[in-house]
Amino acid sequence: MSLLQIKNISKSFDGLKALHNLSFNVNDGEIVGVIGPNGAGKSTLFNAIMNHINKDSGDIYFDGINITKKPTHQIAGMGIVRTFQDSQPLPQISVQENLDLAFKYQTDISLVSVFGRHKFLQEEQQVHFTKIKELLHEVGLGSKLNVQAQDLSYGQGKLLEMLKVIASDARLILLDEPFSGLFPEMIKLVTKLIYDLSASGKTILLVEHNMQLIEEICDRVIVMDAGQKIADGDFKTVTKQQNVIDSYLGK
Amino acid sequence: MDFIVQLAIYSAIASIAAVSLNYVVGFTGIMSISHASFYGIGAYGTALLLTKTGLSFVPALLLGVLITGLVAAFASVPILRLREDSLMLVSVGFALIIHSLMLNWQSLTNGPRGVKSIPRPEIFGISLTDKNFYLVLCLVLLVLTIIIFYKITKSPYGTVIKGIRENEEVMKNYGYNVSKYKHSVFVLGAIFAGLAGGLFASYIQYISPESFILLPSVFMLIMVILGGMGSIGGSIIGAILITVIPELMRFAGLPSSFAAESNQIVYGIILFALMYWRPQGLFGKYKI
Ligand SMILES: Nc1ncnc2c1ncn2[C@@H]1O[C@H](COP(=O)(O)OP(=O)(O)O)[C@@H](O)[C@H]1O
Ligand SMILES: [Mg+2]
Repeated sequence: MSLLQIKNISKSFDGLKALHNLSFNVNDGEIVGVIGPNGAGKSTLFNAIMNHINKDSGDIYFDGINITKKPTHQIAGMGIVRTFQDSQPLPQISVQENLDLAFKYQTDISLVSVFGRHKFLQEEQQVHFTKIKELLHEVGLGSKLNVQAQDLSYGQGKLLEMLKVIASDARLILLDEPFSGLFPEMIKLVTKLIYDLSASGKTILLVEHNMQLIEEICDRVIVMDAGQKIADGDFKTVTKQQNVIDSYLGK
Repeated sequence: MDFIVQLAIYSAIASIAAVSLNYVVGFTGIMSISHASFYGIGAYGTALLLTKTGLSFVPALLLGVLITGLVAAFASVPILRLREDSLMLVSVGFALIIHSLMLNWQSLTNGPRGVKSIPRPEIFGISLTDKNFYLVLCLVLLVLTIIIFYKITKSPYGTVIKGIRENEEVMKNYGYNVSKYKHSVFVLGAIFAGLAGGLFASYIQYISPESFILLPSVFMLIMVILGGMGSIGGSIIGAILITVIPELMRFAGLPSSFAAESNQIVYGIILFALMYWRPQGLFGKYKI
């Protein structure tokens, strides 16, 4: 069974059809690229999955459960994480705190617990956190744990966003243009992090304009235009389709 | 000496209010201008229980605080549904409604004449009519307030509320029930405002609706902004400065009628100076 099922979702903004009868499935463990011209509805699709916006119609299933109308935090709690287009970490808290928050994902801290045991992480999470710390060093953020996130460079911010995604341990990951504005060496690091995630069994939806990266990373590509799916398949096949060339690649 | 003790009592009470307001505004980013209303509800609650029911000080204060918390729990539902500018405006609306209730619900509040002859407390047989004892009580409660908010804001819970201040949408997308956290912050903040109000009423022994209009809320906000958003120590310094400055101006030989007027000029100038040159306040790390 597919991990994510999108069934006929539609969403209009003042008559503009940002999503129009969109349907597709994503299987467990796949990396699926979502491409299409600006305004095609890619970010709106992510907003719809997370129920960040109300959909006009259609249903969305995650792991067989209908999540169409669940509040955003519950959807996240079930194991989906998303980054926002051009997202940067929370600026006026430290790198460590940013990671802690991504970690505690799914947990619910009560005010009462403040005055009892106040260890941040459970033992098994400690192991996970050690792994994140290693990754921090790998991407060159090892010395930045206590730095406010707003003092990182743009590229470092994007890397931290990726580490937060890893820290969250979500099963399904929605990445909205994680490479935008990055220098080649940073692109390599982010690519590697995506491969790592995939290797650990995560399922990924990736919105990206760089076709080389899409071809390199994705198992499958969905092409969107004007809120509709106009193609779905492997990169080579999809990019030869005339309608895809006309609406997106030709430009 | 008496005068210094009195200033210290006012400063301690203002500090409790400012620290709890900082928790709501500075740590969590809920831009509410209704703190003086909760302060007022605590003051009225305590004062009316003391004068009308003959309850003694400790239960009256505790009940006054409880009532404040309940009102906040109800008020937070419509207030916290909004954000930023809209939230600020409805919190002003709330303050106006509370003030109007204090003025017009005469059978309960005694209207514009206020509540007179509020007794000073007696705890465990020690009469706190003596100002020095009252100061000790206020300081003990201030220290308790500081410990509680320090512990909360340094805990994982504190990290969550700071995250909410930074970006609610991101926090929802990481699985946090943002609205639940905001409600609990709002209510706890109000409870401590109510505590400060109860202490104020019992000390000053006379309260009227005029003490709890919008302006005191603005003053509390100035204490927080001056000391620094997200800095507990800063809020205490801010509270002391804003309490003491008018008295210093009286000492400076200004006629007291003019001093009262010029307070507001000074506060106004402080706000301008902060927003232009030091938006993070004296000790804060965060900008509005
Ligand atoms: N919150 C919104 N309000 C109004 N229009 C919106 C909103 N979000 C997206 N849109 C519109 O929906 C269309 C799709 O936008 P988007 O999903 O951001 O495209 P993409 O991410 O593919 O570039 C665009 O025309 C955009 O202007
Ligand atoms: Mg987009």
